[in-house]
Amino acid sequence: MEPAFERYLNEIAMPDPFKQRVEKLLTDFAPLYPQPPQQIFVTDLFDAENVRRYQNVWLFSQDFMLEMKNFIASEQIDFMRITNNIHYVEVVKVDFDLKAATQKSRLTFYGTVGSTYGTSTPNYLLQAAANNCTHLLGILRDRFLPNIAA
Amino acid sequence: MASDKPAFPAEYENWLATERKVPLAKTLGAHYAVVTLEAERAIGETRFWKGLLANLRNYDAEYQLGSDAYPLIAEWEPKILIKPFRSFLEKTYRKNVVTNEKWPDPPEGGWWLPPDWLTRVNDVLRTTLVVKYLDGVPFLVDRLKALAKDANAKLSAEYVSQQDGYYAAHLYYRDSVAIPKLDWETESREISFEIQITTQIKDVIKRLLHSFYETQRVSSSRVRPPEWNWNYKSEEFVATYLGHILHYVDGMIVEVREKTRKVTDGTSL
Repeated sequence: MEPAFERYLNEIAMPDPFKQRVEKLLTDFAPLYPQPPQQIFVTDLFDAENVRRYQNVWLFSQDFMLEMKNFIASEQIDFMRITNNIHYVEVVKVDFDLKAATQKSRLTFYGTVGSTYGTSTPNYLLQAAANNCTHLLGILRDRFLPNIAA
Repeated sequence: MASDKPAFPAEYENWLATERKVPLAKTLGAHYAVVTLEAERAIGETRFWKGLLANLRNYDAEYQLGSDAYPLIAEWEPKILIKPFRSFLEKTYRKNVVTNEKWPDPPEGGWWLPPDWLTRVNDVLRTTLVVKYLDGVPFLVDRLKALAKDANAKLSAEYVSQQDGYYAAHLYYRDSVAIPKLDWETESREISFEIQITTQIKDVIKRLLHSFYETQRVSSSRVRPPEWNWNYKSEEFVATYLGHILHYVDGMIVEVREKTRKVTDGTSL
């Protein structure tokens, strides 16, 4: 695994068995990647017992985003071209000043990629908790907002 | 003769002092408080306990990977608890008196007396690990056995299922701890640390029925009332059948979960 990817997984305190699972999926799906992944992101949340739970793995390359949904239980991946192809972004923040994340911080954004023929059903959703909010904010700024379609 | 058996606590304490020449319960209690605090500190420092705490998240993750992301752990901050002296004394009372079929001779293995009773009572220190699902119990037992092996620690395990509706896995970690003797010289003594592993649903009920289980264990004369198993208002009826039913429900939950998984995978029907 890319050292930067591993660093990120450590930052969000992912347990070793999940890291090994991510590494395996990254390797397994590698032949399908349209471009080399540059960045990884994992959606996470804190459940009612305040335990961090991990959901979907996202990979970002120059022009694409790839999602491995429910990576703990599934082996699936989907691809979306994002370059100049983001049509809608809605951002929701909780206890996050978009500067420094705290344990209570939450950040979610969702919207549509590609033409949806007039429907407003979101086709992507990314969410983060605690220190992961900072990573998600970077993705929002660097990969989504600059790619909103003209 | 059962009628000669001392009652708990006053007669038993008197029997200990006069017949077995054991110091008064007050002195024993003070000594026990110091010893168990030291034992708790020592067990808390062991590689095994530290490894257990450090690995809970990994165990949970490992379980999720094999269960369609259903979590394992329901209680994330287990604590080492010290058995209160009265409960400790009650346990020796049960061994020496209540269940001693050879009374007034010593029970099998000899009298439960100081200083050995600290070693023989196997739950002077205990903790409870609570898992969400029934299959999480053997899963965690296996992980803790492996952890003990890595730490070169002594650990035994048993799956307890009692007629009174109590079900849990009990693990016993044994380690030598430097503790003060009754004369306050230090000695190295093996202490047992009980790790109970139970499910969330059973843990809730155990807390609710705690007083029933405690009373039942302590009393030497407690006899189940006649036809208790038809008296739905009796404590015995509620505790026993609730325990058995919940064990069944625990099993069914996992069964349904596994069936759902097979259907989703297309491996069934």
